[in-house]
Amino acid sequence: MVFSSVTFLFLFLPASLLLYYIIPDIRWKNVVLFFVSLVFYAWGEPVYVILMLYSILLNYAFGRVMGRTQKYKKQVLVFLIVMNLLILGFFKYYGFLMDTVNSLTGLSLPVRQLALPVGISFYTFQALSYDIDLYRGKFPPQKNFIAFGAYITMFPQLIAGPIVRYEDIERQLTARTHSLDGFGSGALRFTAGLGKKVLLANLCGSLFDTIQASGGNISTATAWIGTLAYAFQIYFDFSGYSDMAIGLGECMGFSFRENFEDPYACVSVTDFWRRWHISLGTWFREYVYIPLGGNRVSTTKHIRNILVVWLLTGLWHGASWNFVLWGLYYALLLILEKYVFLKWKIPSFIRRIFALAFVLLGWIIFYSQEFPQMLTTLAATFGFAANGFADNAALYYLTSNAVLFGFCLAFCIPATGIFLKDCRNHLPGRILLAAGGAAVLLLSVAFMVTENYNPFLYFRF
Amino acid sequence: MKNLYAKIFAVFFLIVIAGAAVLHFMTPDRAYSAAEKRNLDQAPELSPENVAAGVFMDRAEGYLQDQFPFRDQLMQTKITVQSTLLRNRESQGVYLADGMLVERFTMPPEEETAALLASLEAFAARNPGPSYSFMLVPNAVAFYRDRLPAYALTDSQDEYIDRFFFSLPEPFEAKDVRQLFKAVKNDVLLYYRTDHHWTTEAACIAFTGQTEDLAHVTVSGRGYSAYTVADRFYGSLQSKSGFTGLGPDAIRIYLPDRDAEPLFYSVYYPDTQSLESSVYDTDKLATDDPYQVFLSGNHPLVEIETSARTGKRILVIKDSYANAYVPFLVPGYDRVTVLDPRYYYEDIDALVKSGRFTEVLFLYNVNTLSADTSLKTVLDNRQ
Amino acid sequence: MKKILPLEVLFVLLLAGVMALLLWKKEPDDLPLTDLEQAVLSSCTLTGMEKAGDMRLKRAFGLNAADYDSYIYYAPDNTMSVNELLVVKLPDEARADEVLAAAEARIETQKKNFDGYGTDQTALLQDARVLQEGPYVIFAVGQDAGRWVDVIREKLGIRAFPFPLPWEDAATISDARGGALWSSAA
Repeated sequence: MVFSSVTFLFLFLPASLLLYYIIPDIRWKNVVLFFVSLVFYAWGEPVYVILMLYSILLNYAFGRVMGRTQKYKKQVLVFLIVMNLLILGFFKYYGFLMDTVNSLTGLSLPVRQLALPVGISFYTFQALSYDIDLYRGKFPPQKNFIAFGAYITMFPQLIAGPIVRYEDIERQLTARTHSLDGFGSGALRFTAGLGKKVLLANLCGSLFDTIQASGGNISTATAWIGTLAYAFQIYFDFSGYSDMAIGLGECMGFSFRENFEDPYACVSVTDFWRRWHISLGTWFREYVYIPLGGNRVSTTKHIRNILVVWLLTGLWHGASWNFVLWGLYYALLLILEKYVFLKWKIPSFIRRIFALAFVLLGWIIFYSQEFPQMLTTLAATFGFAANGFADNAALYYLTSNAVLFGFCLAFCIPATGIFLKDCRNHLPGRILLAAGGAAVLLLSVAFMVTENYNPFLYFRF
Repeated sequence: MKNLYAKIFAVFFLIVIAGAAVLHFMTPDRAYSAAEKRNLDQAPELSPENVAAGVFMDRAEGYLQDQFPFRDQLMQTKITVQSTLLRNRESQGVYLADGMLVERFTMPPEEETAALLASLEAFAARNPGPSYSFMLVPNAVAFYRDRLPAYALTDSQDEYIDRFFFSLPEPFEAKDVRQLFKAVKNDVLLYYRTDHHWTTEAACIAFTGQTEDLAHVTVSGRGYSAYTVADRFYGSLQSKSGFTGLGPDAIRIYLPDRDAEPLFYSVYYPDTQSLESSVYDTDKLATDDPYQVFLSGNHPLVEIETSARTGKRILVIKDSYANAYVPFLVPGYDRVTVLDPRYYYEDIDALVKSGRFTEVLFLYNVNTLSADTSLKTVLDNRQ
Repeated sequence: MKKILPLEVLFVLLLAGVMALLLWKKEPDDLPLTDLEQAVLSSCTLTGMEKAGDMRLKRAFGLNAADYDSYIYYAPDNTMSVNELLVVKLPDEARADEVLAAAEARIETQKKNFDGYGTDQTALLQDARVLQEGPYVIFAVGQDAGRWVDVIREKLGIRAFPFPLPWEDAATISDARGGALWSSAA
């Protein structure tokens, strides 16, 4: 089920909220949450819900085992890590692995096409964060199966994040406050995310698809417009989804961490990754980078650490070579920045332009499924395009989407976020927020009810 | 007090999601949407098999969207925002041009056109006897590029027609109406503003070659005059794109003058086995597609027999453009048989032989022909 | 360790079981299409349909009969009917896509043909069944389309789970497989 669908917003959500709020006791609220989240997941994946239930049982059971032994703690942790990664690896990467083996060895072993269970990357990483931090002694094991199940499955972040670490939420599982204005604040946040997704991301996505359909038959200007459209699409799609997740969580008394901080306002690539998909970056830093030594080791090992983390980050995004390439691309840039670029004295304005250029080129690698197509697009952006620098098509795309891009740009700059936050402090601002929220909600509903196009780009994770 | 705005929004949000949900289930489901001119999805069956197979869930979204309360008004809101605020004047391949809706043209692959021409040639070779002709009518996009939004993208229909007629096989006579239309494109309404069809005047120009004084024409020695039979016609392009605001179109038909020599004819529709006395089905004028007044809309075959005594019999193989053209043929032929390959399943060679036709006319508009697959299949007629 | 290791083993086996359940898919039996046709005709009545040959297959789906191992096609027998049953046996499972695509295209074409005046037909088209079982592609439209598909799948020996689900008739299953695999005391 997708948040920006009529089924979710007008069937599932009212029913779930009703059930959730009718029951007063928090332990029973968790039962409701767990149950509706299973329905939410099963709606889209009727069979794979079994796999998720297994994962919950596995991590719950051995989490408790870990709590009762000191001697075998490490062995249990290793077992958990292996099992979790086995599940993730098999269902997500089996096809990729077999295809690679086949093309490298020239064999043609039969490859069964497996459907990717939705959300597996997210809930597996959440489970692993629980396992590893439990080993580190940050909290006692969760003895209540329902509470633990609610942590893994809770529908706001189940399908597309943010990746919520157990330590951030432990106390909230058993004690959280519910209030009407808390709900309103959450609903407002949800609405903002919905608007980002339905009004901005989908329209940019539509433009991007149109340009993609032209294949290599584009001009340089078109290539840049297409990449810009994709950059907007993926940002508003993903951050919109995170907004909706945070908002829904807030509606039920949960407080999640922010996942995006105006990423396109970055001053360097390093800075970009502190602002984009923060929960993933945090996860890799906590559970891979730091255990490997982080930056407190020799230069060679440091570079190795960065390469490992980014190889995995790329792979996490998808079982395909262009994602691996994308990860390595950023690894290279980050290493260069750390050891070379950031030491130079460059005016901030130039820094920002370069950072954005690197990010945009990175998106080209990210969205190109085939290698030849990637090269054609990259060549076009550097001036070697089939249709010259600018053609009629580029002018059409630009003029018919200028206002859309204007809105997108407005919601990318930090000033907008600051202004909206500040609105909470005075009456005219508060009126603006409530009225604006109402308008965005109604407009989003209008678009949702009549739109067939609604893919979520991070959905295959 | 300072969080009152949040509380108000909370209440508003709940009213919207719960209210719409309640309204949705309380209002009866519609089967058909007049605005979109299509059947609306109905509730999927809630059975264990459907749920286990995921079929129920897949269909649920389509159903919930199609039966949403105030759907038409919400669609209007969306279209208005898109065209005015976002200044995006294209929807589903239709441009909101200056004063009219214009459908965009996409050039089909060359192989497809070549294959169709080959089938035409083979068909004519198998059925020698009648004289063959092909009238390929351009759409609005061929003449009104200047009215489209700035830099609007579309392929060239002129190029397609030129190539088509150049490669038209031997027995076929090419019937090109472009010069005629170009001469009067700013004086006569050639295409409906909200529909993809040509107007009756355009069909008249194509048939008679006359470009002036279209209120009265002479066909086969009889006088005809134009009468408006519908004035609230909102056509297919409006339904497809959602762009409203372009005034309703009027549909005119030509009826014989009172002092004209009388002509008797019968119109038989084999698929519904109904026999009519007019090519105009006035019952259709009250429906939401009044264009069906011409030959009662889409039928695989229409057989018209007349008292004309000209010794000529014609077979028209066509798309819906010809529906407005056929009435002009009726006075000049003893038999007019109209065939629509999209619905036709029988043996076309047998039909040609039994009908003893003296002429075979293909009448298509460019947009339909370039996307069509049924014509070639019917012509190939493989056993 | 005494208690932990067996628990770990248990969970590994459980995972193997879960994966088997998720991935389990029996290959359909290899039967001539006439057997499937017999099975359908003997347990269902096909209304609004007639047996059709190469020409109609090509017209309706754009498929060339010569490209496939064999096929059975029951087409609509009048212009107001959309009832259809097509079973194609592929020479090679990789060719499935073109038939599946042709079936989907057929649904769309028929929907367009009846758009605006055929509410019943459109409803039937929406519930059309298009599926692939190994080398067989099945396409069915009609009030009883689900039943025809079930009969064919049972004849081919396909089960979604290794045991009959509560709503499936255990007796019919044993008939189709030529002998009881489990008692019909369901």
